[in-house]
Amino acid sequence: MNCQEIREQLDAALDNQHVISNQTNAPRHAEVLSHIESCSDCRVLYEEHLVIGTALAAWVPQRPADDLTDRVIDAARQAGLVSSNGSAVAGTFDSTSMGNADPRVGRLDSDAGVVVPPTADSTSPQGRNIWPTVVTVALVLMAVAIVFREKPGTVADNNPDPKQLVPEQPPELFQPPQDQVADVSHLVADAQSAWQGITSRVSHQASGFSVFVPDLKDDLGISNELKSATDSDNSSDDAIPRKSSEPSAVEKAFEFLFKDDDSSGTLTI
Amino acid sequence: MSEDVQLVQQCLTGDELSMRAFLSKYQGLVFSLCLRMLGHREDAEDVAQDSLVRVFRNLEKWDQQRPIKPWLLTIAANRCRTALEKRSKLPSQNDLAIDLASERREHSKHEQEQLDIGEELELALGELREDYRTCFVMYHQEELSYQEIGEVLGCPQGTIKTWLHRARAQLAKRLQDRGVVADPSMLEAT
Repeated sequence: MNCQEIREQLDAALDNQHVISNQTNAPRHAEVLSHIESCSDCRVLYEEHLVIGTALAAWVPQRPADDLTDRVIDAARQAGLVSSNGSAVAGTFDSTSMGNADPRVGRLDSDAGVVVPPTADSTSPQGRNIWPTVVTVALVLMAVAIVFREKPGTVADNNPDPKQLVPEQPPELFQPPQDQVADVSHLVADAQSAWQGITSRVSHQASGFSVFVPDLKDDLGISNELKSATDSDNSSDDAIPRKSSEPSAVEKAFEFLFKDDDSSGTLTI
Repeated sequence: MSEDVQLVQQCLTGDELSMRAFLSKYQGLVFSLCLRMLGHREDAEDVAQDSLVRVFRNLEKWDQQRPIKPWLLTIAANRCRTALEKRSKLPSQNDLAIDLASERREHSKHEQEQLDIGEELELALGELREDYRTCFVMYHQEELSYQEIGEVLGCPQGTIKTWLHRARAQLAKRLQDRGVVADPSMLEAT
């Protein structure tokens, strides 16, 4: 082993936080020790190596003041980096709080090295205290919604008075001119004559179906005169009771429409 | 999902408890670097505070596929350089010596010897070039790799390896000049 290799071995040992001495048993260390016995330059390097090793073994890291954590947190809070709902109280955290059993407060997981956030257990006092607030807020929102929905006046305030929308005087009824009234009378007369023509024609063509007429008239409550007029053809309908001795409006209409054209006593429709 | 990723995601929500857990895990790392680079405890705490607030402000920019330590230390190193530029002077080794002397406690003889050697190392570190000192602290105290130190300091791995070697050599000479010798009983622990 030459001098360059000795230097590399000494540096490598310090890199691994080790010191080469006669108390170590590595085979390469024995070679180093045998070399320095005969090399003055390397022996100087080896003595420096031992001094550094001794100093490193006695070196205690410098620690900051105890209040540095609080100072940093305060500065971070002033910078807006700490949330306002932080669960910890300044100055209360230290390594002894790692085993905090209170579920409302975050704890430091010593195994994982991370902070476990507070649990939101509904059975905890914190969880129970949330529900009254939630219910209250929900009720207030519902009340506001009802008030604004059932208060049309607040919306109609800007609308015109409904009375103004209705004119005080009703509109004038349509009055046809006098010269057109005569034309309407002619139209009515023409309609009457046309109707009479139709009824006479129908009665002539449907005279063979007169047997069915009493049934229809009985169902509609036809008068005695019409009933008796049909008895000659069908007398089995007497069991049907009369509803009234006075002719009804329908009966009168039938008398008007289906009156006898002759005095033969037979009904023609 | 790694522990760091989970912790960072919780910090991004602004959860104070998660941020405190993050600080308890990494503020010592940041402070240690600041102390090595600035050589003054109060200044180191001020810059560490500033650095950590910047870390929280820029957490979403962290590449979750990469380790977080180099990213944190890069921010801290940049803040230290800015502080050094403002101060316009190199860190005073006397400040660090005073700080270390004020922290003396009563210890056993062996513990006191260890503390003495540790304090001597601190004093010797204060005399090193800033990049040598930072490189030494990141490697031996924060246990970062050559590659990670190179990312923080913006240098290739070869440069980091050279700086680390020179830092060790210069520290060893300074320690020997101060009468520190190798203690075989302490070497047993290494």
